[in-house]
Amino acid sequence: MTSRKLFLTDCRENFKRRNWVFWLQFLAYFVSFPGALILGLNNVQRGYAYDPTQMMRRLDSFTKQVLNLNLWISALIVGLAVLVGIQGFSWLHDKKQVNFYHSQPVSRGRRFLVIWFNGIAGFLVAYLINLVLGLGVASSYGCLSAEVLAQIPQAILGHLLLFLSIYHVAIVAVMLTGYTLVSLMGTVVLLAYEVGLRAIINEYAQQFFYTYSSWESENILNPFFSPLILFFRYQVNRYNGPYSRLHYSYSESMFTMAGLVLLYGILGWLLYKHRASESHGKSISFSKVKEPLRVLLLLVMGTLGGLFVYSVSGSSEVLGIAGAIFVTIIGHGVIQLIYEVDFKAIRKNLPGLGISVLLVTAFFVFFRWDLMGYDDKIPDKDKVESLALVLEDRYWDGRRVLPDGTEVSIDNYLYTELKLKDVDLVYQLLDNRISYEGYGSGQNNNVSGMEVVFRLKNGKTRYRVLYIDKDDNLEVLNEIFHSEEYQKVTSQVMEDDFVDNFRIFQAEYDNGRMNYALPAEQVRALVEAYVKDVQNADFSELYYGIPIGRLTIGGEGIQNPKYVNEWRVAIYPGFDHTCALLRQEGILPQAVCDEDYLASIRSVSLYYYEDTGSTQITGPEAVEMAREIVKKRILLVKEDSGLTREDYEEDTALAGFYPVEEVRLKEVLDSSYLQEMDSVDQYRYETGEEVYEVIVEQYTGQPSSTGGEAYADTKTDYGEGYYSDHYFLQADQVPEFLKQMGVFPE
Amino acid sequence: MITLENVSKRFEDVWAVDNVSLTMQEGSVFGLIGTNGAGKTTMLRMVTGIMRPDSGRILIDEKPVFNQEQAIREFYFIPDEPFFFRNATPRDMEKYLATVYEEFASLPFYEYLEKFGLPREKKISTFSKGMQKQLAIICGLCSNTKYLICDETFDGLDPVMRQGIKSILANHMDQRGLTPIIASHNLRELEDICDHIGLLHKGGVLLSKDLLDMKCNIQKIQCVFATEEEADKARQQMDILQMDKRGMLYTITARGPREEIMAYFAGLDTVFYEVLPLSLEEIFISETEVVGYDIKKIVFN
Repeated sequence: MTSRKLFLTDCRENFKRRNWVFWLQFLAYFVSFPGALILGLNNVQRGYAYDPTQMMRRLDSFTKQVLNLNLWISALIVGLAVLVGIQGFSWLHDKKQVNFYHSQPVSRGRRFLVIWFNGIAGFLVAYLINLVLGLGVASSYGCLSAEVLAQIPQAILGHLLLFLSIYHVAIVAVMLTGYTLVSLMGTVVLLAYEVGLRAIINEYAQQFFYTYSSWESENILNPFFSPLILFFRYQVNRYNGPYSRLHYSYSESMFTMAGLVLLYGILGWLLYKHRASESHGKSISFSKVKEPLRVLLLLVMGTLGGLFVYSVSGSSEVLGIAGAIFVTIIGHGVIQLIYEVDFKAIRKNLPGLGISVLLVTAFFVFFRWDLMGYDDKIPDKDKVESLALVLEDRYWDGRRVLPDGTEVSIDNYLYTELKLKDVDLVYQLLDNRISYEGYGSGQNNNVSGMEVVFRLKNGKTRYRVLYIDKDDNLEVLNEIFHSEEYQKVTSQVMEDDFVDNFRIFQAEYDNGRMNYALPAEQVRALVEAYVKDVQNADFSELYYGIPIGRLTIGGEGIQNPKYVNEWRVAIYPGFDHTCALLRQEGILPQAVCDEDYLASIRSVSLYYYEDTGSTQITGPEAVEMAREIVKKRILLVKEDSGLTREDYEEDTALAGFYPVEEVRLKEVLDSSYLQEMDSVDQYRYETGEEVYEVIVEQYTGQPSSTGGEAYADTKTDYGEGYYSDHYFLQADQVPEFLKQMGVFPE
Repeated sequence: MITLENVSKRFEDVWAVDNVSLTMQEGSVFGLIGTNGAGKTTMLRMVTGIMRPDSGRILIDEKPVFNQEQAIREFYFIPDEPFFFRNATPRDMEKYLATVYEEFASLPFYEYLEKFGLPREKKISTFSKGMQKQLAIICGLCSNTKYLICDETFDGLDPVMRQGIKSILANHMDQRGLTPIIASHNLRELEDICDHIGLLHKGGVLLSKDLLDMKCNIQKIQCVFATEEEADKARQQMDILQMDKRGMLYTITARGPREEIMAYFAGLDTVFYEVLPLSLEEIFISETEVVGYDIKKIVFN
């Protein structure tokens, strides 16, 4: 018998022993490919029989979904790969089978190769046959397009690499263990441990480092050794486009997966080669692995337990450490039980437990008291290539549309595209950073947190949240703001070719309550005026000022009609060029109140916080609590509204009731601005700064809904013709008549 | 020939096999005897290449055995608990073994099945323990390997079946030079089949001797001396391993050929004497007591 022939004979014999695994795979892929297509396409065909065009679109879309890398098939492959890997080599866990196979004149290498090959061949045959059947089904429904066919090789390669990587991880787990159940647990540990540890480090850092940025959490999903996470990260982020923080291209993902396939494949083989035959029945087959593994597992268990207890105990360090130690001890017992399958063994190996307890405690202490000085340090200026700054309270629009029509979060876009090269300038700002205590005290509202992205010369990226006092850094902020790179990235409208790239179909100016349509031919001029104004603007005006209105531009890409977006930018009083154009169009000077609106108003409520002195305001949570106690209401009612104080008897917050003329109400509203105009002041209002909340109650007699519906931030429809509008009034804008009436306490 | 040279194997803190050197000659039946835990199975698992020794080396016909296909091809191993595929029939096993052992004798396999009354198409899992052992022996014999290594294989077989199998083994030894190596914790089972015995105790070899040599060289004599002086004379002149006296009757176990002993006693002044055959058990008791072991505690418990 030639060696080649013998190999095939061995494969055939091995297949006989495990054919149920093949048929299970076959059934699973049959259900997932031809089965799913028959059911799904039939369903689409029946559901859209009335619209053939729509039906074909849906059929095509469903076929693409089923025959591509999709989550269901991927999850199935993961489960089946674990099964195939463990089932193929689980004979190593059985003394009878080890005696049988190892005493036969078949070399160990050959036996490994036969089982390994059969596992892969079984997957490929079951998968490919059903994929072909699926293509046949798609073809019979007339939806086997070139696009569908083009994605098939990509899907096959992706699924094959997923299978191979998980299959090899399962083989490694079998080789490291002596029980099938422990192999299964081992597979989970191998696939999830690194991600779990990264997640715990991330949680600790978030909990204890005030400069830690949640953007660093992307590292959780950047494991070196987990093909499962790598693949599903790609799967999920495939839909998120290139500006997803975790975006990885297909080739990059597949290349990494192939590397892991190789790594785990070689590791599995080496472990098989060096695995002692007498390892069956032992939880861990390599005694040298036992102790390091125990420590690694206890590190995760203990630190997780410590963090949990710390959180639920109201941030008690003592209880946190006690919790970490307690969970470590329990974990030690569980691991001992698994290792020795003997309840009495839980008391053994106390030195190992001691090391783990020390390690877990050190971990907790290290993070809690920031022993490495994480919060005090930022990357060295010399090592930084470029930076991005994302101020918490920025003014720009939050969306962008990519050339392919994908909408991108401005955060993702900024983190990728904003590259401030003037490192010295930005470090002038960063070197003036202040501690978190200054930010949280509520004493200084000019302190702002900002996300900083450090792109290092070594190719790595670091994220931090740093706090600065804007008042002290206006000059630097202004300089950064005026850099071309900053302005073009923060607002799409500021891009050179913005107007040329879109067919504008809508332009509108609004002040939060009233809209004015603008002729499309004015858009280019308006955008040019706006760009000039922003270039000339002072940062403090944009940050502290209150916009007089907003410009909304709707457009679609000239080259790609999918490229649709609506851009909204704020117009400030100092935007001379823009305001001049708006005046030319008869939009400015604007009025918040026209006659109809004024006629519909029944009352205007002014809310303010009264400092009772009983509560020390130290932060947003405390303010929330204080609000219940000290929020007061001044009610101005229209003289002819028929409202009396008795109507508000039950309002315990009512501090004053004043019937006034309609013109007085107009005065109040002309001094106020709509909530939508500025989100910064919401925070100022909440912290009791000199800003009053103004609620206008209207009765129009024209019910538009059943009530309870809110329109953006400003208007609420209470039904039966009653509405309310939400404004703010700055203290320095309070009309003279109110001051004279003395409605607000001194 | 199978040679073990200073072979040791340790499981955690326990030396299962401790510096064992042993030779198993071709053409004879080697019996490996020892209590449970003496290291028999470990030794056989190393001999068959299942386990790798921690130190020392094992050669089968001068070839190292561990993971060496050529050496492993020379034997078939029947462990104490033989393995058969789940849901397999004897026919399935034959088909499989025929792919592994190039000289597997399929025709005799089915003949043996018939002789032993084992149905070829019935699931092996429905067989009794004894039937499964019979099948394992048939598989081993039909593999046509040079060595057949059996671990506790004859335990659980009824005496008739045991005799039948012994006779088949003898045939194979005659016809094709099979060398069986049989491990057991029960000396009585090996007594009438083995040519050479190796006694294992606590991982070490207590003794390894040719059974015939042992039998021929130790004699049991029962006698009544005419005078006590004659008894003292015998005690001084003979190589006595053991000497008991009950009343006037002496029972002596002495080393030496039967003819020599007979001639010696003929010259003594005795009332009565006779030379009796020794059981293997008695030989072992005598041999091991000489080296300071209480064999009854080791083997016959």
